[in-house]
Amino acid sequence: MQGKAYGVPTGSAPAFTILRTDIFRKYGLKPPATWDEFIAAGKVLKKHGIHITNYAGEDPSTLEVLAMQAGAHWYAIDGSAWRVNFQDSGTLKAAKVIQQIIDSGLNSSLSFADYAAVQRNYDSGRTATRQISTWQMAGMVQNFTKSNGLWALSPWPAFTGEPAKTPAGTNQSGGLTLVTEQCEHPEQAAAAALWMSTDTGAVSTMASPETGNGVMPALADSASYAEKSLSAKLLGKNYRPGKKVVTDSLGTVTTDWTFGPNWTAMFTELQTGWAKVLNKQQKVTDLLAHMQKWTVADLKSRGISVKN
Amino acid sequence: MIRSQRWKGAAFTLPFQLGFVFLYLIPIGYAVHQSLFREQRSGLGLGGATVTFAGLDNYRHGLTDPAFMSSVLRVVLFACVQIPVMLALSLLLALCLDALTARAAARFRMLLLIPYMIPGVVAAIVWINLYSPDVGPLTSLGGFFGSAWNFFAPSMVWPSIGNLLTWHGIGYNMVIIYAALQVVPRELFEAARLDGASETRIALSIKVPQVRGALVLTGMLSIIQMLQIFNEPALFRNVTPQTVSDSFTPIMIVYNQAFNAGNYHYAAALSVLLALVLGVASFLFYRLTSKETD
Repeated sequence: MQGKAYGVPTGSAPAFTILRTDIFRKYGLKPPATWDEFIAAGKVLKKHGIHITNYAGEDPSTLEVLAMQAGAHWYAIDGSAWRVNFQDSGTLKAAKVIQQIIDSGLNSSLSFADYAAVQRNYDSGRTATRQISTWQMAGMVQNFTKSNGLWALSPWPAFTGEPAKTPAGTNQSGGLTLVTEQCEHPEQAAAAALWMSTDTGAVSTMASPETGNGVMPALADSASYAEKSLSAKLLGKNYRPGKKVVTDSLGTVTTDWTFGPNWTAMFTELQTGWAKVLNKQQKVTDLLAHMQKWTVADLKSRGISVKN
Repeated sequence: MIRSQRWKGAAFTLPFQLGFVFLYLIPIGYAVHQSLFREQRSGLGLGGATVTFAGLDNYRHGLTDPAFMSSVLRVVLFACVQIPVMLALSLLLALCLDALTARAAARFRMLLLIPYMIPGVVAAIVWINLYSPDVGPLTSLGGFFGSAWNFFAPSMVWPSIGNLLTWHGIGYNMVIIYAALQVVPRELFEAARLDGASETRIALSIKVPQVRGALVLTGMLSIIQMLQIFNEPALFRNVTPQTVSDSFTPIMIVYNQAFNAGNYHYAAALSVLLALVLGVASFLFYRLTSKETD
């Protein structure tokens, strides 16, 4: 439309923690409110052979969302050029948390390619929490056999001394429906996209983790779908309090994150380095230094202006 | 009259010619054409890109790209181990089948072909589940016998993929070799038996040399297939991304350049280079192996 692309957002991704209440109660732990408490709880659980979280080798979005939460800006537009910064104070703060978790061995590292193993790991209580959004709970609801009703939601941990803030959707969540110029019936297609994202029946179906995939609609009254996006089967008696966690997280989403023009290529490079971090072949800060150099060089090779 | 007959004869090959032109020559020509250009963006890179003529720059870049060169070398080394093992097993199975009655052979041949009927990606997913240290049966089975192998460990990537490829390819290669065995004149075996040769001796001295052509063919097809290996390492990348990088095999680099990095022109140049490597490798293999039979 007038040289600009518009899309209909299909969903947003409120972020929070889901945790095993039975395990936390057994070892006298409270849901961690901050990342420091998260690490402390992880150390207690480790003594009993339980991991507090799972980091998949192919998925560096943990680093991305923690940096986002800590106020990092990997890409920023500065006039007519990009400013790239993988080593700002926000990213380093996120790196410190992740490095502590990895160094203390608090995480399991199962790949999502081994999906059955990931779900069984949570179901059998070998990993006790997951930083998650509504859409990711559908897989848990559909696969768990032993731990239904033992899970509860708690707010996404904050950085110590900072107010609550949750990451926005990554490139792997949230979404838009776009109608291409080549489309034969653009108006009808746009109407369908709009219906899919706004019709109460349609969004309710998609929001449910049982009929849909836990997609939280991107509407002014998103919060009213919080209840629908949760599963009573998974959360048991923690189902009602869970609603408030989801609603609250919608209000604290990071809004100033920018995706750069070579994001996909950058993310592929980040994956390889992230796997080496998990395997303790390098530190998070080594990876960040590499990404800084790599991203600037890659942008320049495409003829894109970079100011650094 | 002769001329018109010639044309008539040629007309019968028309379906092939059309397919060849549309499915081979035009796409190859298009890839070569694409490989000579470069996409340049400017400013914030949010507007459209301009395409400029780059000459042979993409090729120069490819030939000096250490990632591309090492990926070719990596796959060639792997081929040197996996292909002989797979072909030796296929040959052994074909010889066993050949020793059976025709009816029993037909039944086993079907069974041994089943892995080949499974699409490569599906086979890789099946094996990832079998290999899984958490939910797969193989690790606990290994533990029962005293060594709990982790098939996802970095050092196990090639053996794990090699086993998968061998399992997948054995039946197909066996069928080709078995078909070649069927046309070996039976009188030869009879003569050998009358001369007192054992069945093993007959297999080694008569059957194996007679199916040399089939071994060369299966070897060449396997080399071509191996240099283009993509599905298996791409799926194994998820379980050990620290070992299986995004540039682990040549096609993975091409894929990554085209679909993640958006460098279609460079990806086209790498594809052409890979085709040349394949052509040279097949030619050398054919030359080296067919000389001695002349």
